[in-house]
Amino acid sequence: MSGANISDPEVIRIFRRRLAAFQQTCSAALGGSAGDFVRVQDWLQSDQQGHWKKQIAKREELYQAARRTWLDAEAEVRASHNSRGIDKQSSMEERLLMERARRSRDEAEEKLAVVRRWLIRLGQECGPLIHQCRDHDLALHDMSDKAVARLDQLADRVETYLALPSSIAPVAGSSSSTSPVQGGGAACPP
Amino acid sequence: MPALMGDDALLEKALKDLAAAWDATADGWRDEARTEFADHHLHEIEARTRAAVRAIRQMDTLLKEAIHQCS
Repeated sequence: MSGANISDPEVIRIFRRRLAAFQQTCSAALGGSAGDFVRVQDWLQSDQQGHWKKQIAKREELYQAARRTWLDAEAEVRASHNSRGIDKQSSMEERLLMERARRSRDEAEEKLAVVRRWLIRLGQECGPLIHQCRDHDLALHDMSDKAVARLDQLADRVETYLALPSSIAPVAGSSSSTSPVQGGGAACPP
Repeated sequence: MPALMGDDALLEKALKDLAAAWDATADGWRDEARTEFADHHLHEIEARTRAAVRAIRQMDTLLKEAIHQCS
């Protein structure tokens, strides 16, 4: 059996604590990413869908008002051709305003469509990724538990070996607790 | 607009810190048990964590694009 070579079991204990803290960080990060997905989904569903629906209604009203104005202007133009009173040559300005209002409404409709497409896409693509993150979380938890248990075992063995009376423990060197443990099987793999 | 938590960066930093902590053990611990622990436990944990970082990063990319297009 080959020898252990460790100066102080505290080296193992310190790393064990770091590993345990690491596992908690992993768990928090993996849970956090699922939280990100939920927040974005809520934002799309509640805020953005609601916002663009209101915008569509508002812009539709503005478009209809611009359209009525244009129709009135068209009527004025026709009337001015038939009489000598009102002199309205063109309804072009009203028409441009109507077109602008229509484009604005169409933009809002497209924005709503984009939001809805993303809701579907995120559900389809993030769903499997969230499952993956959960699997990673569970696996890392399991692996860390086993690793921590192994470190505890190794540290316990070193401590047990160091506690042996010097007449039993074949230590080559000084008997101080900080001297390397050598030769014994305290930290050797089974 | 929702802010993303940057969990992939958090995880990468944690992995880096763990690697540094492991390297630090080499000063006082240098035997087969240490090598065995690295081979059977630590390397697996590192590989799985990197896979987790990739999954989080993929999701972040999608979420950021959704936020950008829908804002």
